[in-house]
Amino acid sequence: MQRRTLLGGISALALLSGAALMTLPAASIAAGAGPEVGRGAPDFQAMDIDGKPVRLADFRGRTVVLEWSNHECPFVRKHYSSGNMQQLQKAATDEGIVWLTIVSSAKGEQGYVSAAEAGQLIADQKAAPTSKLLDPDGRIGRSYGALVTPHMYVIGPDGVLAYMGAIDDKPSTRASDIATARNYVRDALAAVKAGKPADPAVTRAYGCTIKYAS
Amino acid sequence: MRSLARAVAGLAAALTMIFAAHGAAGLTRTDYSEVELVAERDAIAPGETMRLALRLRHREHWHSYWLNPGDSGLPTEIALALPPGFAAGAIEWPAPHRIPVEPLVNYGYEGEFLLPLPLTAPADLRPGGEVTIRALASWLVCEKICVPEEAELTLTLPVSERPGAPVPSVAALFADAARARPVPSPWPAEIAGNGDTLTLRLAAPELAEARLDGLYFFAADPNALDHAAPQHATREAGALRVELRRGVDRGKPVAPLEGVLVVEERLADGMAARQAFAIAALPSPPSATHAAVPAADAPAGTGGILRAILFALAGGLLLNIMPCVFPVLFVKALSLARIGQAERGRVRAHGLAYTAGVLFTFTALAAALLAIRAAGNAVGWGFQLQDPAVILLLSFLMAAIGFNLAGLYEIRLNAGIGAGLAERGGLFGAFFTGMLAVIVATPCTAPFMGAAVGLALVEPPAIGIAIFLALGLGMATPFALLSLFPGLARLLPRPGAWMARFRQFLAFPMFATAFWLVWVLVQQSGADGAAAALAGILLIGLAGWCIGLMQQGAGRRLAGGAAALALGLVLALPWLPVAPRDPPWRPAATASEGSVQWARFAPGMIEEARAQGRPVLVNMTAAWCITCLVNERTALSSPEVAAALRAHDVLALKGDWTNRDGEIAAFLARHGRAGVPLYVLYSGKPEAEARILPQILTESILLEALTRL
Repeated sequence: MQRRTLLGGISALALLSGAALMTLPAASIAAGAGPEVGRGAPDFQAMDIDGKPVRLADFRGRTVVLEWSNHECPFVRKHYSSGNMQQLQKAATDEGIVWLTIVSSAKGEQGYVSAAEAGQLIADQKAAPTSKLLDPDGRIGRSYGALVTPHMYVIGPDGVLAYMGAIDDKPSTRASDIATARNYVRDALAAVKAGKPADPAVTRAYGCTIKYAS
Repeated sequence: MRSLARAVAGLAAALTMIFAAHGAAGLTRTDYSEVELVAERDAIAPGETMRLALRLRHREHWHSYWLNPGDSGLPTEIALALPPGFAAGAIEWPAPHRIPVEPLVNYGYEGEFLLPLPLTAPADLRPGGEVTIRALASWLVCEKICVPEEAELTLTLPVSERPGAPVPSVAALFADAARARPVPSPWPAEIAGNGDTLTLRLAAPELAEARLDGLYFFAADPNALDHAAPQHATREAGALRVELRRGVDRGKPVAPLEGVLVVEERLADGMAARQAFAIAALPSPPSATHAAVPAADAPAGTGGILRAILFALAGGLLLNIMPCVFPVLFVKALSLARIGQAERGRVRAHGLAYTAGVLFTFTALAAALLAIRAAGNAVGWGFQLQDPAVILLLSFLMAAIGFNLAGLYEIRLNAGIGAGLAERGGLFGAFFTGMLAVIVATPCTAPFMGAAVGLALVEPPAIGIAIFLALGLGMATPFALLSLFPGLARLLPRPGAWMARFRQFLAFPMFATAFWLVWVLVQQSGADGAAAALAGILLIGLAGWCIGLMQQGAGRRLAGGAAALALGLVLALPWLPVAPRDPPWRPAATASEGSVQWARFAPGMIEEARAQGRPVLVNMTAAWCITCLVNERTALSSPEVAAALRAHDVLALKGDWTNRDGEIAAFLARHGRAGVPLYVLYSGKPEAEARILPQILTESILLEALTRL
């Protein structure tokens, strides 16, 4: 009996170590792929442009929108020069939704702004985010797998990621496309409000690559 | 090649400026690009279809995008305004390049290139006039930052009765674009997978056997794959598998996958050839037949290499629980655990010195092996997996290791030397203990070393060394850990019979590997190969048993003689004429009208034909040569080429080098080549020089060469 347990144990061990070997490379790649819709959104803390710490967990109970931005990117400009992004921000914040604009450009790269410049930009653009966060070391951006600007995320009041991807379904730099585009963020916010899963919940974001610190 | 094309294009651009013909609007400059609408020919005839193209040249290091731009970016768009009756097709995208922009990967093009599309003139077009084609091109050009650019372009073409002449200024660019256009894949493709990963399986014996430098699958749908994830390619007999990571679509049911497989092949003279195949893979139910084959996948990509190294590391760790290593480790560990706090620093240094000793020995072993391999290559041994003899020997090696692990016989070495050195105190002593551990452990480690040696012989040197280092690191790790944290000793199981049983168990993966190799051999050499392999394995088992008897002291002389005889027979097996099977694609004797009729190459045929005034085209090819395959499917299969060959009464000879052939090797050597493809055109005049055609053939090169006959 004892011998049998021993043999069973050895074969199980051998099989397990083999299985572990096979999954090792896969797991290390998956780690870089960012969060998943339907799971808890990664928490983060960052300084806003007034020097106040902002923590995602503090907004539990409210819907949160994350918007990755780079004001010099032509895709971001499309949505700001047309007023599309500002309208979305106002409509959302009027409903009590938290809107966080995040800048992950590293210092010296396109889109990097100091706190003062970021404040000036909000005024110039007549933008209406709840807060604007600076992430020059790219920690938040990488933890969300944010690839481009604008990359959009919607987090439900329960802290679960509801949507990630593009702002709309017309990947272009032409502002004239906005009128006929389907805005995925607006749809996702409506779905969260109705207590339904967003559809689509994941899309391929389009835009400029985020200029992360290397 | 590229720089040549660029030089030609540059020269051509200069000529265009000088001749500025045909009233084309010419070059438009934007901030980061130069752009132009160009046509393949200088005039268009009624009913003719020719290529129109957007010619782009980006500033250095800037790029624009493919149909699927990858993680960011936008595909280039061309909106045409055509004269009445004209029709244009979609862009014929050249195979893209991977453009990494950390941490993302984009798919696109840098430098100067064409985006061609077919343009068809109406049949009732009146010759004599001119037509003007207008285009609005828009593209996103990026380096680190991205700039959307657009240009309105026009091209005016005279209408002629017959098709115009090729425009020299863009001929090279059009030829490049034609070569970069994916060829329909000749191989059945299947896709299988789960929520996170996909496996693309191509029933492509050519790809599985070719010497590839690189392989990458570009999915057409931007949502299908994670563009930045490494792609793992593994070879199995007769097929190639590419492991892909799903992208935005992950979690959804597996859908048909379309895209372009780009294969980089190093040709015999060192030239790199990039071949693109259009692939459409349909989902298949996951099959058990392609389930993991233990450790024997020949690594083709970085993933395979990584896996081989991980296996080596695990193998090294396993060495520690071998019966001849573990008791020593156990005693060492106990003694370490008793050492007081004050001694810790010294113990740690010893652990590191021991590790260094182990690694040094493994590196030395790897270096020695590589030296043998280099010497072997110099005298013409081919340590290549496509050689049936190598597969046969590897299957023997695996079987011999299996029999050893199963306990049929032992490997004994005299390890008296060096013990004195190891007994010396200090770091030097610890270093030698490490070296000695490797040598003393040989009876147990040999099986694992055997597998590593096999791999090191067929893989590039850097990988061979990495595998050996991983093996050494694995072996040294437990002792190093114990010297760092002596408390761990309490966790070690006591030595016992379980070690021997575990060793016996390990025989099975080895046999599985041997069986897999025999299966590969069946694909290569048919039933005869399998018979040779199985007979060899049987004889090795017999020899192992005899050696075992001898080691136990029973009937020494008789057993030794029998073992020697059996081993002698085994060694004779690879040199038996193991008849290589004809590759299935070997040209059929009956070829249809409109295709080239190839005769089988034999020495003397060339001279014979030329003596009769017949020109000869020699095509040296091999099933595993991807460039050969592409040439055969494009330039050599074109009806125009077949017609030109018939018109000049050219004798077309094909030599198949799939299984090495002395006469073909001699022919290649006479033309200064060590490999295929090789295309040689002889005129019908026996005294005239033969002409060697480029390794990457196009229809136009071939037609031009034939008209000069």
